[in-house]
Amino acid sequence: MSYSPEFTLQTDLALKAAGLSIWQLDSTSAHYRGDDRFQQLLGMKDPSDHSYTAFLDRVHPEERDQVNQAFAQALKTETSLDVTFRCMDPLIQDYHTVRLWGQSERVNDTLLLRGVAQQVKSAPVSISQELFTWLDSTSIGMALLEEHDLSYVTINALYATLIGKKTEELLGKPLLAAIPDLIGQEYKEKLKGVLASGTILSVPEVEVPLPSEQEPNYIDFTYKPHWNEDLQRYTQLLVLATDVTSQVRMRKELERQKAELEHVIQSAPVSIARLIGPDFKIATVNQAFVDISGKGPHILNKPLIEVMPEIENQPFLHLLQQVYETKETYEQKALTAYIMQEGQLQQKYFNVCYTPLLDDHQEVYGILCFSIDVTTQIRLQKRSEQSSQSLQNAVNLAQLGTWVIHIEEKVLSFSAAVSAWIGFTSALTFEKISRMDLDVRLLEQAYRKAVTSYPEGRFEIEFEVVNPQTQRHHTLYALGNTHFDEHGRATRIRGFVQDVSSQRKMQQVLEVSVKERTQQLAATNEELQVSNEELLQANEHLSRSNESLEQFAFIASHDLQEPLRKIRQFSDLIVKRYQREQYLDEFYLDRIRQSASRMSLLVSDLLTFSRISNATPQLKRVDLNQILERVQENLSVTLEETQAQLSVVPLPVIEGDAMQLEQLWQNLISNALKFSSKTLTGQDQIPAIQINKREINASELPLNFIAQSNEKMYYKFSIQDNGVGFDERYSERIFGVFQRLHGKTEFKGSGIGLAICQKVALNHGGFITAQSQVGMGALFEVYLPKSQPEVKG
Amino acid sequence: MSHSFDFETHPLIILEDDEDDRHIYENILREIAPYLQLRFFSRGEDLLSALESRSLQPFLIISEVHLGGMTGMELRRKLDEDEEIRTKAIPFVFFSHPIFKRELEEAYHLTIQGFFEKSPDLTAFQKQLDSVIRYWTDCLHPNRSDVK
Repeated sequence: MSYSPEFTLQTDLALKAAGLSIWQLDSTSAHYRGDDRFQQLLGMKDPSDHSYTAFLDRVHPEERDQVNQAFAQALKTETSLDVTFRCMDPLIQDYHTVRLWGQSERVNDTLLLRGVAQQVKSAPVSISQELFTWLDSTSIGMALLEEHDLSYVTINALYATLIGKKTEELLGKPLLAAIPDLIGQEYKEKLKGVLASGTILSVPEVEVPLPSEQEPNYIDFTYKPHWNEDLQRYTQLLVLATDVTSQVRMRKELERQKAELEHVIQSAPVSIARLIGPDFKIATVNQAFVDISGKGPHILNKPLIEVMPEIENQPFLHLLQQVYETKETYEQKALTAYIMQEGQLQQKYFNVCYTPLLDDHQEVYGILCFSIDVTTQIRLQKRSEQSSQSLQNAVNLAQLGTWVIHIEEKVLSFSAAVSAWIGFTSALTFEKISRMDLDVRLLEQAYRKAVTSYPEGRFEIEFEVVNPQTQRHHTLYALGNTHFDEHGRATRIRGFVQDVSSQRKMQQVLEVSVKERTQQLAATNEELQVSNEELLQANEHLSRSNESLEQFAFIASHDLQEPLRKIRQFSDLIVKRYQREQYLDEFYLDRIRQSASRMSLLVSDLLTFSRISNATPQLKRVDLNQILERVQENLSVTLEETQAQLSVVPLPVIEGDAMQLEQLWQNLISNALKFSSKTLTGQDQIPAIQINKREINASELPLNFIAQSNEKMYYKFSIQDNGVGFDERYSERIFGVFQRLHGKTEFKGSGIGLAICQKVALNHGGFITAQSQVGMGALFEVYLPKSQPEVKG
Repeated sequence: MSHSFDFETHPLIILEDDEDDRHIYENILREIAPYLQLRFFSRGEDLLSALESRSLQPFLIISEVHLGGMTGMELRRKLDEDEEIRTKAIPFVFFSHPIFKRELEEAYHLTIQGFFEKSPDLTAFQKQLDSVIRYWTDCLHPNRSDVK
């Protein structure tokens, strides 16, 4: 097609005046052509790009298909085109609406579509108040919010009711100010976002507290942006409010009931499991089942055999299969089960109930299992059975009989053991008992006490009975307890009985012998008392004798010595006087003097002996070396005269009476000097005296002393001389008073000295021995304990 | 220095109730000290009253311990209690036989100038007496009139 230039110019002016632009599309090349105004209208980015695609690209994405189809239709049918769409205006960065009119036309075998285009103003679309009023009759609350501050433009009555407000409280007011309790700042931002993006916002189940009701209502809110054609943007928000209160409440109630039921099931002491399918998958379990299975909480949806492999050879699986097949409920008490708990196979007992679960077609699809763990009860029961058996054993072993008094029936029943004693084999009525050979009153007493003393009800009695068969007497001891019913009435008395005949006999025998022994003891006591008195008398007598002895000693020392002294003195006087006259023969007078002198010595030694005999030693620590020194001083004259050789080893300190010990040593040494100063033939010789000491155990004492020794350690002192010695026969006699082994004229002495020595040794808990052979010297050995009992430690 | 002690006015007193002993004393003393005036008392009470009357000024008192009535010990105690007699410091010795240790201990709690055992040997007895008399003849004491 071709146009003359004028026409083209006039047409262009006309088009411009009408606000029209022109365009054409070549269907073969799929290129369009348009004037400048068309290019501008569509906002083409690249004016040199005339492709159909570039054109379509300018169309609002939502309307592209629609536009494309309209073009395709027009070209296909070679008819006209009228299509309106939005396209992006690059100047205002917003969409405007464009309307295209066109007509298909063939030119030189090419199909062209040509026409004009015009921008059209979209009519402002507003939701009319009429629509809202109509919607009041529906169950949907509606409101329209203005974009600026989200204030209410329009609402229907239901909306106001749903959110618990009055229409006038809302209209014209911003959403945030009208219902602040429902709408926060955050909410407002969301709604602004809806307006900006054009997306719909749903807020389900908003809690709306209503002043008139205790429980809140629940409303679903939908916010839909409304497009303003004129402004080419979303300017209003349509609010749809649907009341879902009843649905929500219903759902919440259902949830609560479900939770409650779940709680009941979970906390039930009965373990519950729902097993589904022939392989018994665990569908539902409660805590009790989890506890029993002992496998922890992760057992759901697993076959039972997988969770509890230990049941493989136990009856459960078989039982479950049986229920599954027969559709019959299975119930069993105290079923034994071995269950792996905490890594250990444990024996348990369960009361179980397996119920088949049937679907609509009465087909089994699963089993509901109830089981109660009764292990503790069963164990207790078994233990009780055991202790009952033990008790029976004890009864048998102790040879006890058992008996029961049935109070209502007035009958006594008993075991075989009792039969053997009382001679009756079957139960006895009270009446029959009263005719038996026993003390009925005693039985009645015990019986009355037992049935009236609630709640203890103790029955205790010991009685004698004669067996009518054997005529033997039995002493029976019975012990029992009364059982009372709930009203405190005695129903029966049950207990044990024992034949205590032999014990009682034994007791009687014992009592008799105790009595006898007591009498014997009393008699012995009396005798003892008598001998005690005798002892006291003897003691008194002794102390009196002691006093007499002391008096005797005094008399001996003083009154006997005095006349002796005078005899000597007067003899001397006579000698003296007649010496002057020079003719007196002194021979007889000498005899008198010597006798008196000897008697003086005797009396003096006897006195010493009697003193030492009666005195208790004054125990002190005594150094024997000092004692020996003193003795040598006392005997210095004799020692010098005889020129004696005295050799003494160092001596110990011992516990003893210094005076007595001095006497002992002095007598021993003077004794040795005396018998060593002359030989058997009467010739003078120098005495050699050896004193030694040794520590010994009591066991080393001479045999005849060991039994009398009280101490563990002793000193053994020995005095060896080179004197005339004596015959071994007299080694004991030598220590007797006035025992002389030699003639008075040969050796002077009282014959008391060695007796004193022995006395001193004995006073110190010691001993003395003498050994000798005639002409071989004498050996005296003195044994003294290392320590005296009184001064020990 | 020599002193002439007046033995005429200061007798040797012997308290002794045994006649035998008095005889022996006299016998020996006549021999060893014939210059002494001897005065025998047989009772302690008599000697005590004689001393208390101040009529008696003894040179020396020889006393037995064991006496009938007042004993030698009792007499000595009485004399100790008399201030005047005590200051005269009359020598006082015991002669007894036999002597017990406990008597010795008791006697030396009193004011005595000696305790001797009458020796059975006459010669020894004589020696005892001789030494005592010699000693007190030589010894000065406040009671002696020859000391100025």
